[in-house]
Amino acid sequence: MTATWLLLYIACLVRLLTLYRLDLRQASSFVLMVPILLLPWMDRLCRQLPWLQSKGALRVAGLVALVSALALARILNLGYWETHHLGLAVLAALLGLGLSLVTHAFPRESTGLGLWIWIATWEYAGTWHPVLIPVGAGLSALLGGFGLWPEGRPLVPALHRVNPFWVPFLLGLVLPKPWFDYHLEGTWASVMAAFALTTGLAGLPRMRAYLDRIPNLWVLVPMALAFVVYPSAWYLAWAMVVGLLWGILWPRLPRPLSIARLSLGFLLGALVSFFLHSNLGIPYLRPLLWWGS
Amino acid sequence: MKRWILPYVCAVLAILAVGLPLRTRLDAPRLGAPAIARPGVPFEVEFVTSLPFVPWRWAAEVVERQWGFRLEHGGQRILGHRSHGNRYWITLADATPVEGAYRRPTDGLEHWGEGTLPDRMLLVHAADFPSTGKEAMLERFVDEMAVVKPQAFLASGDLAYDSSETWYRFLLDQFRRLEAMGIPVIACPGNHERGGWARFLNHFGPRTTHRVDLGPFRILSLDSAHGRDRFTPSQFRWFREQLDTRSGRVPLVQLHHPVFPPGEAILGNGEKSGGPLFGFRDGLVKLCLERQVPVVLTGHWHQDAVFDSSGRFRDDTADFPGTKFVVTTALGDALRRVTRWPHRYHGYRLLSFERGQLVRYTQDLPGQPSPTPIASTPSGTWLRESQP
Repeated sequence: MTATWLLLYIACLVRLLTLYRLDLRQASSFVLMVPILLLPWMDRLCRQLPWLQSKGALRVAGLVALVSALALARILNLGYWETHHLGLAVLAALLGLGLSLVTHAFPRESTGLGLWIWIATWEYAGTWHPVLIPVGAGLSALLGGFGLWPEGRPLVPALHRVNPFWVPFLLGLVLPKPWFDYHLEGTWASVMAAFALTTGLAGLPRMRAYLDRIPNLWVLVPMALAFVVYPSAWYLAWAMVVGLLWGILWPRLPRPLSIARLSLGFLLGALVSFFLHSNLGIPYLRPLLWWGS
Repeated sequence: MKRWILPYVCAVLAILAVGLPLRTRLDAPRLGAPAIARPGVPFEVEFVTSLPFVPWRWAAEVVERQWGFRLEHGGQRILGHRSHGNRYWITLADATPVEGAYRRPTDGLEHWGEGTLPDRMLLVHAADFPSTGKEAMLERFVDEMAVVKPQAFLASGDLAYDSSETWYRFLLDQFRRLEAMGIPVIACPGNHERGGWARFLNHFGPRTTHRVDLGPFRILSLDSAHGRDRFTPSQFRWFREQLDTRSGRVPLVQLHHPVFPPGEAILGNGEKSGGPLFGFRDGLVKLCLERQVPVVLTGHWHQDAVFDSSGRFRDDTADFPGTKFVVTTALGDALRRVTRWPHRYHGYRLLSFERGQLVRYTQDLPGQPSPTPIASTPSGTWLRESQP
């Protein structure tokens, strides 16, 4: 569920917020951020209030997540998100809270191409309208909450280990580039789908047998380079390279996955990426941001 | 793989729950990005549906019902169609001859039939509109356009300092008044539109970078406010493609941010005017020179300025070779002092063309040489005087 949480909820939320902007003078902005602000305390909360992880609670959480996602998508489908709208912010927050609870109940990450095809399918649905992606997040929460989530074999961790905060930070830095480039065009959603699909392919046993032997540095350096080298016209190739690299890094993250560290690392990376692509005006960095385009 | 059947069945049901009943969003042509075509020349209507992969006939019926127009009416006929996912393009053409310069849109479809345009064409450019409390300024400007009678009005962003629905309704009313006078409005967003981005997109559609072919011109409107003041690679690529496929038309470019910084002409700190265009500036200038773009129209500084392609501030003469990178003063928002150019007033810019050639883009000011460099037209000039 963690991958679903990260790519169908967090990534989608960040993309929408970088597009429509958060106004910190509005209460709705803080409501939107509740699931993220609660992240560092979710583990402790779940331990201290065990009923939160009971079957009934998870079913309610899953149901709330799906209903909120469907309501949000019905309202926003074909439209645009007024981020100061409190009702929409509440729906997005309920979706996040529901999915967060379910994700914390199932921290074990299953293997299998199926999970990544599921994510890629919903990302691709984003080419039709971006708010369809949160529907995928809500539906995943419902399936998880009702015990219908297709569990695969547990992931066999790789020999090499990577930092569970800075590596997602790096992904957060790199992955939003097509969002900033393609703006309102659905192309960014195809990029995300290609990324997810390639991540899944990199997790196939035969691929892993080879890829797991590659030292961390040989993966992290190209990942960092992908932040600078971005051939806009070759977006699918770029997405597949980033997906492959993330597919190599994914099993190297320490298990059990810390959802808070993973999410906050990614969020911080996306935030830094947003500011760097915006108006910081750093003279030498500026020409590098779209190098290759 | 069998265990994934249930999730995918649920996924299909969820998408149906979101998309039914079928709804549409008209993306082009829209107010601010009209389709202007000669009789018989095809143009495209682009729209999206709330569900993907529906038959195009059904989608077309829904778009007609929802937006209150008929795709086929009068002499207008469907020539073809294509679709991708939930996006549809329907090619239309209207063979009906147009009396005068234009046949104005009479229904929800922003399609202008182009008739015989005069050899001498006037375009009006403005940016940085007045806001709530200064509605009268915009109304007076529209009144003035009834005297000026330009062939098109180009609005280069910061149309809505107040992103309330009330303001947008008022703004659109004024744009509709211009259209009723036979003046098509061609608009692009500025940085202030980002404050209520959803509302801007609701009223002007998602094509923030667009092309309008008008007589001898290809008018390219760019969105320079990505990340505040820059293009993105995909947008720049689109721009280059449009210049490369312009089929003999004279390209005119409008964007919100000035291309060049004030340089040595800066006065003080530029009064918080923000910067010029950052991303892809060199590429833009090079393309404009190579593809012989006569003028690039911008706003944002709330003061007039003109630069040549080397970035030199041209307060010495209005007539110099190469592309003119023009900044037009505010139409109604606060005036600023950014450069050493001494004049400050609310105004707009009149651009005069003879057979597609730019012949004049400045206004003579009293006590200044003729033609006065840099100067735009002060608001109210043509309400007091006769037609330009």
